[in-house]
Amino acid sequence: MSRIDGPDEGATPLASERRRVLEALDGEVLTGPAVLRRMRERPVGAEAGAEVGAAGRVDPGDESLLYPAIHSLEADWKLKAMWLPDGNGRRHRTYRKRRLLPRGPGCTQANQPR
Amino acid sequence: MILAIAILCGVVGLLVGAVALIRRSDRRLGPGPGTPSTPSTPATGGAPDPIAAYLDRMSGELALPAADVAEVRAELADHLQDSIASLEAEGFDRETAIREALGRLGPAAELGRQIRAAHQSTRRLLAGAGGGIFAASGAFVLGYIAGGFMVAGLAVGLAAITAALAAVGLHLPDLIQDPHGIGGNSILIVLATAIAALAATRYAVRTSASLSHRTPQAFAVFWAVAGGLGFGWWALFGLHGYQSWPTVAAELCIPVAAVAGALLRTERPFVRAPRLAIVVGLIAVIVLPLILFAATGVSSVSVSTTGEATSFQMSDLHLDTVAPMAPTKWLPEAEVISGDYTVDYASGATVVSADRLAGPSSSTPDTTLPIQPLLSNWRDIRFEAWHAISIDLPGPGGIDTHYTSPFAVQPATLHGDSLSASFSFQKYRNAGSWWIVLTAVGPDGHRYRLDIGGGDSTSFNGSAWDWLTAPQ
Repeated sequence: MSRIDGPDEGATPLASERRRVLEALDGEVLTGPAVLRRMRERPVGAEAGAEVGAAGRVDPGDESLLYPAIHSLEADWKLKAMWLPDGNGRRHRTYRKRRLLPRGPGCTQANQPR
Repeated sequence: MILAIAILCGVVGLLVGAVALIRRSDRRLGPGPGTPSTPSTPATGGAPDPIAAYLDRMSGELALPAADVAEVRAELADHLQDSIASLEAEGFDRETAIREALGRLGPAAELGRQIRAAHQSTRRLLAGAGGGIFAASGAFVLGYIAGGFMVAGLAVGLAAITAALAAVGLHLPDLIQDPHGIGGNSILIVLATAIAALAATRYAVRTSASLSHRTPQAFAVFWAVAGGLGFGWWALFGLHGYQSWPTVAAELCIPVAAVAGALLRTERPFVRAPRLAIVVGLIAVIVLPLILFAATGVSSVSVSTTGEATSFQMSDLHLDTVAPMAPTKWLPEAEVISGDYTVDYASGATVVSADRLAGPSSSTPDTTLPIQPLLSNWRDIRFEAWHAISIDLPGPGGIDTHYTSPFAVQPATLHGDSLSASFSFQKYRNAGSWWIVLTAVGPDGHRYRLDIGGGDSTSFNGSAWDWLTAPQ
């Protein structure tokens, strides 16, 4: 495990990665690389999970926990995976958050993988 | 009526749901045409492709169903292509970009282990267990229906072969219509059940594996033990009916089929026979026997009976094998002991009784007399059951002289004016045809026969365990 824990000893690296994936996926349909880019755009702890990794001691070049986190979220029914074609017809595995209720009017959702 | 419709709808719903679940599991366990494939990455300069090698090492640790492995490989290959393209755009050369992209994902084996752990959650394990039970139920019903068709075809084929052999003068025992013999009919039903057991455990394994994202091997031993114990208990104690050694052997094949279904070839789908082979097989199993029947004539296998009455002597019954008839000084000639028997269908027991009647020479024949005064001359009064000549054979029947002793004895107990006893012939392995005679020890200390008795035949009826533990 190459990722370093922050000062919060209670959270495992995988748990914090799962939280960051959920934050990155908020309301959008994204591929794995797109999730990674979105996570890099946000500093660690910028949102609700501020207690995790508060020092931002995350190696930006470490992607080892991305797919374990995504797949464990899918196994826990927090994400839904779909294979969607891009503009060139290539199929990519995409993810979106599962919601108990349908999204309300006015909310849009991308239907193409990013 | 409403209950029947509700049950029917429930069964149909179970079957439809089970078929859908099984088909979904089959798709997941074996890569189908819709599964995305790993994008091919050209090897550089004849050296092994580092991306393919990385993905192979990662896949080796996954231990997931085939479709999941293919999806994870395709997803990571897609991720690596994206990552390499980004690095090349930043100015890295291709080899360095590949090395950097692979390095960011970490060691391949560790990544494979973590993805496997992510897939194989406890929630999915519970879903796999529940889905396995559901699929097993549906597969058992469907397997029993399919097995029924298969054994029906087998029965028709065997009957046709029997008819064909009979036409050329070689008569085989009719296994289907012979409930007192080896029970061919029961064996065919048991074979259909064995096919159902095999289907149940096979699809329990595959569905559990699919829903829990594990390989079929991970569930094989669990379902083999569960199926072996469950179907073994059922085969030994749950299946009741006519029994014989071949039937019991066939019943013990049911748990073996269940274990085989869980252990053998579960990682691959059943071999799909080409449509032409199915058509040819159906013709061979159904049409050809019918043609054989028509050609040889079904009547050739039936035994014709003339119905001609045959007279016989009392000595033809060989009753003296049991004991000599009681002397008239202790059993007045004007009286007879008349026995009768009835079968209690609730318990399967044969209840025999004997009454003291005024004899034909009496002024009031067939009058029942109190039996109590007669008993003063006799002691150790008992009903003896002897093996008998089959009543299905021509002749009066009577005692089978191959035997020198009764196979069952019951003391006669006094009920009102009758002596009675109860036999459980259906619990004897070789009761078959029997003859019951009332005997007693006279004042001279010798045993005598008090009536001519009567006989019938009974087939063993019970479970395989009853058969195995039954007296001869």
